[in-house]
Amino acid sequence: MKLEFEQKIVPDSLYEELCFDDFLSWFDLDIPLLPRKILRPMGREKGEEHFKILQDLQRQVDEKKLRPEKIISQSQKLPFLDFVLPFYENRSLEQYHLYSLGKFVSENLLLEEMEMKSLPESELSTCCLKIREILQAYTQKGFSGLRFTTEEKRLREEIKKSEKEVDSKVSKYEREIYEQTGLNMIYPYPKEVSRDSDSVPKILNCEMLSVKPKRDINLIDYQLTPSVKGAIAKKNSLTRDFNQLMKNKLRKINRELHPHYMEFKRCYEERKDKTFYYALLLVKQHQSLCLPTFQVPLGCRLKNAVLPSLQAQKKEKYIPLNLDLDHGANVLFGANMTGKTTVLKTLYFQLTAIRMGLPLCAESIVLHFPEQVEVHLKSAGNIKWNLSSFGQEIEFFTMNMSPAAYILVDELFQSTDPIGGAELSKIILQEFSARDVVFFCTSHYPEVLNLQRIQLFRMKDVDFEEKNGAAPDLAYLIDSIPYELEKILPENIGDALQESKKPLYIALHFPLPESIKERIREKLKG
Amino acid sequence: MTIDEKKGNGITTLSFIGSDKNAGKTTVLNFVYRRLKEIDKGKSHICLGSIGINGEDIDFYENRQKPMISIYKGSYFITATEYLRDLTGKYRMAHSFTGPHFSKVYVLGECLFDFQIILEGPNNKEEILRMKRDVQAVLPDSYLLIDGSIDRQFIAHPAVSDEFYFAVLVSTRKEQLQKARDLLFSLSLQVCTQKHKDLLKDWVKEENKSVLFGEGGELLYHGKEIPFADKKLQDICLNCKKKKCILYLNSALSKSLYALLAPLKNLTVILNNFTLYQNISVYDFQNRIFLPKISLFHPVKVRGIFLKQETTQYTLTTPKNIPVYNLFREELHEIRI
Repeated sequence: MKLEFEQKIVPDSLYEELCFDDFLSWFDLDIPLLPRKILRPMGREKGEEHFKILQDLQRQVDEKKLRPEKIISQSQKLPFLDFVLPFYENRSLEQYHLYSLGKFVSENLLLEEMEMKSLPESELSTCCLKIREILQAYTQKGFSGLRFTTEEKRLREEIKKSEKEVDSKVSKYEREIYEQTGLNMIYPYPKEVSRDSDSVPKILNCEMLSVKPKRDINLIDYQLTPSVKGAIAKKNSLTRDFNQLMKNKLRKINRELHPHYMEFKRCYEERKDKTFYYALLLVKQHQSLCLPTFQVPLGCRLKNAVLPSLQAQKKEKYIPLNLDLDHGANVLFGANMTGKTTVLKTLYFQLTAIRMGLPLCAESIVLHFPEQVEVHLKSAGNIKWNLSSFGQEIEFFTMNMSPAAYILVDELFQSTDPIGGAELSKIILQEFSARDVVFFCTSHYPEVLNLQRIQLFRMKDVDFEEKNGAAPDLAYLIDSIPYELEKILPENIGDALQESKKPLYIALHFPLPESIKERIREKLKG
Repeated sequence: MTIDEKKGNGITTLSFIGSDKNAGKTTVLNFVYRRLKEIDKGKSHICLGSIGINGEDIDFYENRQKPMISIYKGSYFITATEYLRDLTGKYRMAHSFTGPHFSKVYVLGECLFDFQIILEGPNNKEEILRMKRDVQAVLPDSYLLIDGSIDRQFIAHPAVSDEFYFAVLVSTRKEQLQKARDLLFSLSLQVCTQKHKDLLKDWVKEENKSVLFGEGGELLYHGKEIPFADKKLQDICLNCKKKKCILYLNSALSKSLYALLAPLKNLTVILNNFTLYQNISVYDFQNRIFLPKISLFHPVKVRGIFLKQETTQYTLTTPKNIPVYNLFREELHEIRI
């Protein structure tokens, strides 16, 4: 089961950076029935219905009524029939189609029996029972060969007899040729005999052979006797009769199967859907994923949400994300290198997975359905579109943001001068604080901290003190950063502004020219 | 006649390759298949398959009917479904090869009657290997006879073919004759030394098209581009003409590359497999002698070479210790039953 996202749903660079391909590869199960599926973002209604089905199935798994491994193992026996259905519809099924169809209905009935143990009210598909009955009447040995009628069997025996007769007459004929000419006329032929061969005069005199000169050799071929020709003609005639009987038989089978086509098609599609759900649950179980819970009020609550690519990179040092966003404007404030953008990307990753109907890398997620998710990350502009980074950011806000949308912006208006940027940030935050959306941005502007009706967060930072005028080690700093969020309460706004020297300490750890480093040190000394 | 009985379990894959069109490959396949049936006496299953389509029914050069594949009751075949429409009731389904691993639907069937059939199989390595895995599950102890093509380099991979039969056309036409000579020459190439094998062991991968080592085993270059278009490789080779170097190629030794490397007497060229040495001497190189030594990374195990002689006017040098036959000639009694 190869899963892919519909194109252009996730910006290419973000798709690659967040390793969506690796995440989707978790779902690469060998299920012939579902070779590949393109996932498209779901609307609220469809999405909630999709996850409700998953929740219901999960409940049965939790109650040990349903075992996804067993169900998937049986589902893997079901053949892919997409290529068979048009032939079925057009009453032109061939013998090889009957094999696949028979295999599908019999394995599907077994699967339905397994499902009935967890859902006693469900029943076996009537169409599958009927199709199996018809196929069993006309085929044998697990639908692999056609079952012959008495007349067909008789004809088959006659063909066998005539084959023997042809073999015996041809052997006799070849023996006579050998006796007359010394030639072994065995495969392949025509035989090439050199013109100066001793046997040429005998060959030329033999009525059972034809001789055709070709360059420096003679080509010797059969000149069949009327008796051999007659035996071959008889065999061919019997074979033609047999072929006609087989055609009639296939016509009859198609006629009997056709009334069940529509119901079977529905059953086949339903089976594909169900198998997809089971596969999602199996991967959820294997990877310890969770299903989202939907709420009516706008907002989202993530508990221990994970960005799998980052977790794979950081291993045990990785810290999952806990986040509680309300509707309106939410601002994440904080120092450099504390993981603000990662928070935004982790949230974006989870929201995208939900829109695509996939289980989530988190302990739990409660939210309103993310029908629209828009993200704007820092950019260097785009020469092709004649837009600066500021122009691109402004353009982002011209997009239609429908109610209940999730809007994520990294470093709000950092793309312009600090005075204008702070003003624009305030305007945008005031605008979205009054809208029925979840607006979540990161920012460095202290001016935004004083806005009303805005939920403020900051990244917890590492406390360090300058020792003997030297800044702490960078590796120590990175290791010590907690990568955790905390709400900034109004009384703590003053603290949030105290961290302005940290970027200077951090800058000292990079190979900057010594003259610049000296200025930084002077600044730190005050 | 060297059609040995099968030793051990598993699938033995015998591939059939022709030096040219109308070299008699289908005839050789039919012949070997019949002999195998007689010798094996039903102990192993025999399955016939093809890379791409085997089934052009007309020989366009000579404008006459080409031989079809004849298959007998009890044997197995692999083909695309469209060739089974007129064979209803005459076969039993053993397996169906469908998506997602196959680009079209193929069938593994068992013959209930004798009949002639057009064979079509996958045209790429991944599908062939997948198909072999599936055949192994259905027919664990079997011969798989593959109607192959020299244009498909993957046929020479040890995971694809165990051994080969070659059909060689000895023609009056200059190009065809030269193709036959090239094929026979490539079969006589030696396998590279163990020292070179050890040197290359981490580099022999599908994506690596060329690797150049210095005399002491130091890596000078490796490229993923097709060597005849890899300018950097070519420049480095020319710059190293006074040094002893080893060049591994996993792509055809093309006309231009052949001409470029021809004067480098200190060079040892190691071709991944014999299919990479093709159509070389067909072109006019103004009698330029190719000075580098050539060897193969993967050995080619040849069971037999079958000649189809349009003329006796030319003689070909055949590799030592490989049996050579002419099926069409009445005088060669050693191939008789």
